[in-house]
Amino acid sequence: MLKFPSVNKKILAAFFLVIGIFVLLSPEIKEKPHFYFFERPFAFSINVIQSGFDSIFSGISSVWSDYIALVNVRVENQRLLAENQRLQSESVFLQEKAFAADRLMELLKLKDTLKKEYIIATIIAKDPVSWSSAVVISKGGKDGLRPNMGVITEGGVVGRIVKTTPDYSRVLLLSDRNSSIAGLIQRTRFEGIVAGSFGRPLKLNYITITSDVQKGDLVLTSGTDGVFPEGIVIGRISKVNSPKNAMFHSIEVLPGVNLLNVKEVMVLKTPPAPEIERLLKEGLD
Amino acid sequence: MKIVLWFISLIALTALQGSVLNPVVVKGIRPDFILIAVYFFGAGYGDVRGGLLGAVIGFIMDVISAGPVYINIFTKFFAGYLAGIIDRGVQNPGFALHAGLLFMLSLIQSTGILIAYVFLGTVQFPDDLIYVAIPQAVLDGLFGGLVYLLVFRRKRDTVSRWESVLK
Repeated sequence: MLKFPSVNKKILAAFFLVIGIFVLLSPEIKEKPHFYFFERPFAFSINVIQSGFDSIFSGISSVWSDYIALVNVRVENQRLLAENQRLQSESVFLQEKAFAADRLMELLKLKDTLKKEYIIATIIAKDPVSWSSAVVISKGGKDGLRPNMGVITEGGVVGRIVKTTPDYSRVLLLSDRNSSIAGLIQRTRFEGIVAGSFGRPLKLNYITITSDVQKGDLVLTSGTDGVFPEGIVIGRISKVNSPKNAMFHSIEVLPGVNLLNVKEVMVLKTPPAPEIERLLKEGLD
Repeated sequence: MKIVLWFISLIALTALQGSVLNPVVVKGIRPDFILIAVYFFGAGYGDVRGGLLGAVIGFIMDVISAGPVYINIFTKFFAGYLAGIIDRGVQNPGFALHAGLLFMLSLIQSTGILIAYVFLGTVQFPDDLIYVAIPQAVLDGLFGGLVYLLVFRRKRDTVSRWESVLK
């Protein structure tokens, strides 16, 4: 059996002190968009193990969903066929509208902000600490991903990339306390900042008390943060409090995406806005 | 050799803690299996070893977490160290005591994190306490007690260590 060297209390106290200094310095380390040399081996090896776990999980869940959980498929199939027919006719109608919109945009020389290149990635792990909301995705620097790229699903905003390794990326979710996105209320176009709040609805801040805000209003990205293009769903307003003598409304927003159950995401492969790029470079220097 | 095995197991557990294979999530809160493991390691191998291993595993946890500060290196070190100290003076600990101690350790850990957040200006009091710290401590306590019942429960000496030393 291996024996630990005997460590006296003075050495332990010194160790305690070193850890304390490290903790105090750590915000500087943590906010960098890349991993330091002493972090890389650990981040890489843990991500590889987690990727293996993900493969096992995917295997088990595909066996379950493809072979075992096929009860009621016939009924579901009939319902989907009917829905498909309805959607096909609706699609033709919407295509006509899109062509008309394209023609108008061409006439007005407007830039199409919705056409974005994206890459699909799978979530392989979640943050091990309950205090942070983040996920690790299966694509990284090799696939052209960089920090501050937006991550979405068909339901809306998921978060943004904060760190990358060649094979994996860490995505800070919308619900994290350190996350904030520029948003606007679709109906009235009032702009504010949507901030995360773990385990609770998101908060839409800086909407002045005189603004018209109603429960059920849709909140979209405003595109002014340089990460997300305009018009992606963030969520829906679930509660509005307007305290007397306050400057701003207190607004709660339910995310459009169930962030606890996301499996696959789309990363918008658009480089961050020049200002964000500059700030990022300053951070690296 | 046992310590190396513990270390490898803890690395695998750290990977499992955040992986999609971990089925135990209650409203986004996962029981801190690393805290539980470090606690039992500290209780079994003493305060110094518990503290050192806790610090190493805490560091790895901090690397893979998106938290804004390296805090687990500190809290896990403290958890392992404290577990070693407590175990010296405790006789025949059972489910309730282990669960209670883990509840306390988890709360102490959360207090450390909250203090860090106060300095960073991102603390949301009392919501953080109600929605994160207390549910986390309850989960840690319950799962720690369960782990004790399933894995570590064994017949202990009925004579306390102090008595045996005196004899």
